[in-house]
Amino acid sequence: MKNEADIVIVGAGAIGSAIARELSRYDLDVILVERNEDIGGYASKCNSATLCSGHDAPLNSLETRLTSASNRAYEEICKKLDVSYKRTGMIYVAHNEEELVRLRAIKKKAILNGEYNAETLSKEKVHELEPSINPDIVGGLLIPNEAIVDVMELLLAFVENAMDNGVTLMLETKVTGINTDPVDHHVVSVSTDKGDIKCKFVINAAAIYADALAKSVGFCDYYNYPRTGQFYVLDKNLPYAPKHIVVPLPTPISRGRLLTPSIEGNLLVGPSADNMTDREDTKTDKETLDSILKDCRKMIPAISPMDSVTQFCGVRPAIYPKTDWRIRAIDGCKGYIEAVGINQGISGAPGVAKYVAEILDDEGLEMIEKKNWISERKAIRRFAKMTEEERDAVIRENPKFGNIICRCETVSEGEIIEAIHKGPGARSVDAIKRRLRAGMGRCQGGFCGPRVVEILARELNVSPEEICKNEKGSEMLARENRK
Amino acid sequence: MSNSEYKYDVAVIGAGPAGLAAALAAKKEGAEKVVLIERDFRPGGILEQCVHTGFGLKYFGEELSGPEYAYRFIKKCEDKRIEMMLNTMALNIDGANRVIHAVNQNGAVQIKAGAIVLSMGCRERTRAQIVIPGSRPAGIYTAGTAQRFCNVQNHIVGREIVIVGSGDIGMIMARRMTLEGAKVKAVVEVMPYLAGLTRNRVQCLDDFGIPLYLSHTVVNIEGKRRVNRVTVAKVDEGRQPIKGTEFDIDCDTVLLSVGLIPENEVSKSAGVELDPVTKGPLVDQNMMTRTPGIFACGNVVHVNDLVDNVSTESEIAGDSAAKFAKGTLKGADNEISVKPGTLVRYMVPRFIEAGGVERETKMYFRVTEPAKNVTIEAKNGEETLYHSRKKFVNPGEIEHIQIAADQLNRLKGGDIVVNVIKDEEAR
Repeated sequence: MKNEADIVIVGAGAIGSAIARELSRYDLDVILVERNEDIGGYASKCNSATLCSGHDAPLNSLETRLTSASNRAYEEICKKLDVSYKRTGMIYVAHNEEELVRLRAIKKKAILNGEYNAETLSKEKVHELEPSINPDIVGGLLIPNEAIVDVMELLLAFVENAMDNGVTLMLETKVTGINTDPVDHHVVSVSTDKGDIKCKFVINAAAIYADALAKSVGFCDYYNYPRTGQFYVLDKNLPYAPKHIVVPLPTPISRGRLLTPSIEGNLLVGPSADNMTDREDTKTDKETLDSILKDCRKMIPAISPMDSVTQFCGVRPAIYPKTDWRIRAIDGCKGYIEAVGINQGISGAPGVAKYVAEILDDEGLEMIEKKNWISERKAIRRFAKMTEEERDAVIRENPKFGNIICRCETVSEGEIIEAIHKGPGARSVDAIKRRLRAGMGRCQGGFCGPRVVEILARELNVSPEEICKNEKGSEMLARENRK
Repeated sequence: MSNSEYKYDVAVIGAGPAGLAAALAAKKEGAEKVVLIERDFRPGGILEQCVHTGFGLKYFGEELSGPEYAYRFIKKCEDKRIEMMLNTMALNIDGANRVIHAVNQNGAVQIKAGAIVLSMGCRERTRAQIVIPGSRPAGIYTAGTAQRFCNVQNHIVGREIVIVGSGDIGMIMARRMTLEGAKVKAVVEVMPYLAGLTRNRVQCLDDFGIPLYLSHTVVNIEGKRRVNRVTVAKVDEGRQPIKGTEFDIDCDTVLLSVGLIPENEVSKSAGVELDPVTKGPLVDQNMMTRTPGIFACGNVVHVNDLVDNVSTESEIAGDSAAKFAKGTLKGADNEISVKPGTLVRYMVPRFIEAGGVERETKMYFRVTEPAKNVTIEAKNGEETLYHSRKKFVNPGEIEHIQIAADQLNRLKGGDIVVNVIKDEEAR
């Protein structure tokens, strides 16, 4: 195990991954540490996959500035990193006069937050843009800069690009604390369940576990708690699926229920927003799912649970007391930098990463840009998206692409093998699913599951009983049959 | 273009029991070049993982295992030099020109055919489709997936099992897992009656003392990394859980046997019209879909409970496909709809071409609910085409009627309506 670095980043969610990529520009020795078996943390890999414009964030906040800076940069970033991105825009729908008044306030704030083209929509215009929206609505508001992204591909792209530029990724490594010098309290190392890592700087991007890490250096004036969000995932090609993100007026704690088209053509319906205590409990429940459906049908009445491919629950890293994003160096603990209390981390990640690099510079870290920094990265070529000629060519090059493993999403063995060996390689069934969609389709892995387990075991050179759905403890199989 | 192109008289997609029987029948009817396109490394389809017996009683008059049943057809296909394109996945069909676009390890292949037979079978319904809330740990599988792990890959998926749904595969797996040393703690069925065959209940559950809970459902699944518990509740007549009836069962595995859905993504690409009830193609007495030259048979049309019926039905499809390719398939303009009437959920076939019927036609259906002492009748206007009595009918067991060819060919118009009438209603 590598046990020394200039900088240790704790947490490979959106924020940690983006910081790793940003710092890979410089001649620095960086280690990115993640407790789970795959990158993506808890919240980042499991959400609505939208890129917010920052139009609804608090005025003059770091949150707004970094989100809108990132929003402007994202199209270019996604192009460089070969990540699917689409500026769909977002439509708020108002059901009565009172909501129309609230929409005006949202528009005013949006303009102040940089959404110059925020546009009030008449009822007719709303229906022209989205014919399946409830005929009972009275008007709407268009926020053109809201976008959607292939979120797992984006996270992979950050980490892969960072790794290509020399960053070390350590998966399944739990940081247990930060160690400081007893005299002047500067950071000397981090402790992990796999041993200590000596370092000058540690960046706390541990999201929902940020408070525990902060406590270990004695500077913690907040605590984190989970706020879960349940979703339905609906099938592709539904006649009523909107092209824009469609939202109601926000609630005091969240954006409310969204209808979000996904990059792959599914429709996401949700989320809920429930404060919980167990940070890893992502169960769904009937009452919540029923209420999501009821609320969303107010926006698009045709939505049907019969079209549901799956339901899931993600967890947001909420923080108390709620303040602006805490991205800062701490006086009295030289070398400890935190990037915590961040909601909608994906939307703001590139901005946060640049800002953190500036903080490091301020803190006296020598930042010399690499001459040969690689700014681009290529995604695995997806068989499902190729033309017949491209498929023919790629199979002739590697026959494994001619072996279709996931029939619902048309994923080939060639892609699965690549995903296992590329960058932060997939080690679990879920990791394959998140990278390639194998098992995300209508049969939910019924057909490809046994085959994916076989391929993982073969490529990782372990027995099938060791293959997990995700983390250790989630083994797919009990044992071999009786002899 | 460097893609490989092939030409056949009849191309069959899927070399499971339906495809094998259809290909043989096509060859027998004189189609010279017949090909089976199969995505797996060997023919046989789902039968290859069905190592239990119970196959062939009707078709061969003896009890065979799944692989044995398949082998009889595979051997004949080999003897008749029917081509097998294995490890080949059909991705879509150009329906108007009857060209199948597929891939295998040699590249993209295009198969142009005089007639196409769709025999892709079906897939299992999932947890998401019946919306069981709770966590999403490892240990939740469809029964067929567990069967593949067990019988093909030699691994048992868990030690303490709860099975949701009383479909046949679920009951078969209850027995299989028990024989492998697992403890099957319950089979939970939301309906007040069994979903699968009664013989499977007797042989797979009763004989092993496995409890069956009818009118119950799983309302929650718990477990962070692997399943550790499910909550079961009784349901009311509207299939809604009754508060206060919940009880927990500790287990590490949940198997789902909650129905099968014909797999028609490829059919849709060809523009083949589907029945909203069966989710399979609408077919006529020759098993031809509404797209000329494209035929369908087996579980891709409607989910059967006996493979023997699949073989018989698929022979009609293969025979007709060969005739279509030769241009000898009798056509007729006088189309009669076959409609599900009282207590009948669907009909296969859904159309008859009166004047073009060549053989006695079997019409398959399922009832919408269990009933005792019933009359089964088929009517064309006032005329009764079929009439019989039955002591018991059950949605879990497929029913059929048969009507002679000349009787059908005589029909002038109107619909054929099939009704199942309970005795008390007749009175």
